[in-house]
Amino acid sequence: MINLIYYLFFALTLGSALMVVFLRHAVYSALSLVVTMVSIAGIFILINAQLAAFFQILVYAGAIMVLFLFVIMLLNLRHSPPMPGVTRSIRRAGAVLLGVLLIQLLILGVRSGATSMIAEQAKAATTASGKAPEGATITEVALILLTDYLYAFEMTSVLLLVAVIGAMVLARRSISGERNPNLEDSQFIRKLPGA
Amino acid sequence: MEPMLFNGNMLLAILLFSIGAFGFLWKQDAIGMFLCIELMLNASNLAFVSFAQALGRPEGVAAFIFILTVAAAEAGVGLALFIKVFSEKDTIETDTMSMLHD
Amino acid sequence: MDSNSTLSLISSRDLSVLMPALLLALWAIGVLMIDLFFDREFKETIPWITLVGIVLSFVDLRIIGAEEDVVSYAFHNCLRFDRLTFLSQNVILGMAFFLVLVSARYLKDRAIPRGEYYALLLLATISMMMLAASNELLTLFLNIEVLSITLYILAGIERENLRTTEAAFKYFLMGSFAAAFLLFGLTMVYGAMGTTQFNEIHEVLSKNQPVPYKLFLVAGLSMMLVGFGFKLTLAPFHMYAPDLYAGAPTPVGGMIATGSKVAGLAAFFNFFRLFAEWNALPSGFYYGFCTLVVLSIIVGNVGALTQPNIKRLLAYSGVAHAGYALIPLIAVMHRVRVHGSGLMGSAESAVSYYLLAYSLMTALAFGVAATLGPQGESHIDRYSGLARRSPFLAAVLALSLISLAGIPFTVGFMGKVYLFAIAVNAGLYPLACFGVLASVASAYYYLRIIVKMYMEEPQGAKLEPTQLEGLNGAALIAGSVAVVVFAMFPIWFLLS
Repeated sequence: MINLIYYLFFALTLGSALMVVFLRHAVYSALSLVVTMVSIAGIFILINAQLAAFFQILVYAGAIMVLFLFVIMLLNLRHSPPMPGVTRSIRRAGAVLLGVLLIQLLILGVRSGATSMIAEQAKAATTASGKAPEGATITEVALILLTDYLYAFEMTSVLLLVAVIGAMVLARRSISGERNPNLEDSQFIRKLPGA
Repeated sequence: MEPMLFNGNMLLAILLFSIGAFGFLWKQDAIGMFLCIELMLNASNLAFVSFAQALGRPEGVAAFIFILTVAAAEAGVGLALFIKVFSEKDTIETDTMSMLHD
Repeated sequence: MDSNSTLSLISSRDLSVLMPALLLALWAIGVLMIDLFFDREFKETIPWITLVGIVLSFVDLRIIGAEEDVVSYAFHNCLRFDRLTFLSQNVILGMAFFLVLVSARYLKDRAIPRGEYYALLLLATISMMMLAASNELLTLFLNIEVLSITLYILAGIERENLRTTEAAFKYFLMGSFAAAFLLFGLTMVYGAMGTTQFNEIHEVLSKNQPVPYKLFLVAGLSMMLVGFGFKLTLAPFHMYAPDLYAGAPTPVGGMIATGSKVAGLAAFFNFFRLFAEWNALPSGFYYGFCTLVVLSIIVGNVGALTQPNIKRLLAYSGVAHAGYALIPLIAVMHRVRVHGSGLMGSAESAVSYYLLAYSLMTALAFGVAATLGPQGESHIDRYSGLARRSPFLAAVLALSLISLAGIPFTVGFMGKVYLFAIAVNAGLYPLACFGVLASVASAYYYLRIIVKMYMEEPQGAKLEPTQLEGLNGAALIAGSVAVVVFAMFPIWFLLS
C-alpha cells in the first residue's frame, strides 16, 4: 500500500517538474512548481520526516511561491522578454547536453549499486532499532540547531537581515529628486519629463 | 526506511535536478529560469533529507531548514532585482539587451 | 544525537574567535540605525563610522592572533582557525577598509543609498571572514550564500541605471545556478561520507579504507567544483565575470574581485585539501582539475589581450590569477599521488601570500578606476595621457599593473615566485614553465595601458589635485606602498 502511494507521489513530482519546464505561461509554471513542492512534502511524510513536510508546505509552497506569484502577476509577465546573452540554439544545445550528462550520472549510480548499498544500510538502521532513526522530530531538530549547528543558525539571521535590506533597497521606488546624475549620455534617452 | 523508498528518492532527486538544470538553459524568460533554480534546490533538499534518514543521521531536517532559508532569501532578493529591472525598463527607453555588450 | 551529549551552547572561546565578525555585525546595524534616525548632515559621517568598525575588528583579530601550526575550532567544529584563515581574514579586512575609502567619493556622484551600501559592505565582510574559516559543509554553503546574496544586492544597488541593474540580474541568475550545483554536490558528498563535518571527513579518510559510495563522492566533488569554479571565476565558468565587472559599481567590482575571491579560495583550499591529502581523488578528477587551472590561465590571458574595457580586462586578469592561485593545490595533489604526503605547509603559505598579493594589486587598480569616475570605468582610450592629467593616479595604476604583470620588486612578482617554486618542488616542471611563460606574455596587456598613459596625448580635462579627496588619495598611497613593502619583506608578512 505504501508503495502505491509512493509511486503516485513519484509520478506527480516528476510530471509537475516537467510541466514547470515545458509550460510557457509563467503562472502555469509557478503553479506546477507548487504542485511539485507539495508532492515532495508527501514524500517527506512517507520517509518519516514530517517536520520537513510541514516546513516545505508552510514556507516553500506557502510563502516563497506565493511571493513568486505576486511578482509574476504584479509585473504581468505573460510575455516576459527573453534573457540576453547566448543565442537560443546554443542554449538549447547546452540544455540537452547537460540533461544527458546528469542522466548518465543517474544510470551510473543505479548500475554501480551505490544506491542499493545505502538502501541496505537504511533498512539495517530501521530494523536494528525497531523504529525510524531519530533526528526528524522537533525536539531533535531544535537540539541540533542550538548545539551542533549553532553558528549556521545564527548566520541565517544575518542572511535574513541582508535579504530584508536587499528587498527594500532594490524594489522601492526612487525618491523624487534623486535622479542619478552620472550616467553616460550616449547610453540613455530618457522618457521622463524634465530629466 | 524501506530500501525502495530510498532508491526511489535518489532517483527522483537526480531526475529533478537534471530537469531543473535542463530547464534553466532551455527557458527563455527570466522568471522561468528562476523557477527552474528553485526546482534544483528542491531536488537537493529531497536528497539531503533522504540521505539523512537512510544513514540514520540526525542532521537531515536541520539542513533542510537552512537550505530552505537560503532559498527564501535568494527568492526575495532575486524577485526584488527582477522588479527593479522591470521598473527601470519602463522609465528608460533604449535598446535594452545590447547594452551589456560594449 | 545520543542522549549522553551535554547541552553546551556556546563557550567563551567560541565567542572570542567570533568577536571580529560580531563587531562588524553590530556595526552594520549601527550604520543602519544612523541612516534611519539622523539627519542628512550627520549621515556624512557614515563612511567614517564604517571605517572605525573595520579598524576595531582588525585590531581584535590581531589580538586574537594565530601562531604557526596551531589550529583552533569553534562552535562544535563548524569553524576552523589556523594561519591561512588568520591571514585571509587580515587581507579581507584590509580590502574592506580600502574599498570603503574609495567608495566615499564614488557614492556621492551616483544615486546609491549610503546607509544600506555600507551596512551591506560590512555584512559581506563578515561572510567573507567566516567563509575563510568554514569547517563544515552547511556552514560553507550558508556563508557562500550570504556573501553571494549580499553581492547581488550591492551589484544592483545603483538607482536608475539599467545597465548596472541588468548586470546584477544576470549575475544573480548565474550565481544561483552555480549555487544550486554547489548544494547538490555537497549533498552527494554528505551522502558518501556520512557527515558534514570536515574533521569527521578527515577521520574517515585517514583510516585509509576504500571510500564508501565512491560514485556519489566523485559526482559530488565535481559538482562542487562547478559551483566553486563560478565563484572563483575559473574557466569555463568565468563567463559572467567580464559583464559583471563592467556593469557593477566599481568599488563593488573591487570587492567581488578581491575579497570574495580570497574568501572563496581559502574555503576551496580548506575543503579540497581534505581529499588531496589522502589521495582520495581518482585520476580523472585530478586531471580535470589541472585542466581547469590551465584553461583559466589561458583563457584569462587570451581574453585580456584584446580587451578595450579596463574593467573587463581586470575580470580576465582575475580569471588568470585564480588559475595561478590554485597551482599550490595541484602541487600538493601531485606530491601526494607520487610520494604519499607532503607540501601542505608550504602550499598554505604560498596560497596565503598570493591571496594578499593578488588582492592588493587588483584593489589598487579598481581604486584608481573608481576615483576616475565615469571616465575611468570604461574604455582604455580614456586613459590616454593620464600621466599629464593626473600624475598621481597614473603612477598608482602603473604600479599596480606592473605588479599584476609580475615584474620584480613588486608583491605580484614575489607571489608568483612562491607559486612556481612550489610547483618545481613537487616536480611539476611543465606546469611551472607554462605559468612563467603565461605570466611573461601577460605583461603585454598590462604594459600597454602604462604606455598609453605615459606616451599618448591626453583626452579629457586635467584633473585638479583637489578632485582627489584626501582619504581617497591616502588609501591609494598606502596601497602602493604596501605593494612594494610586502615584496621586500614577505617573510615578515607570513610570520606576523
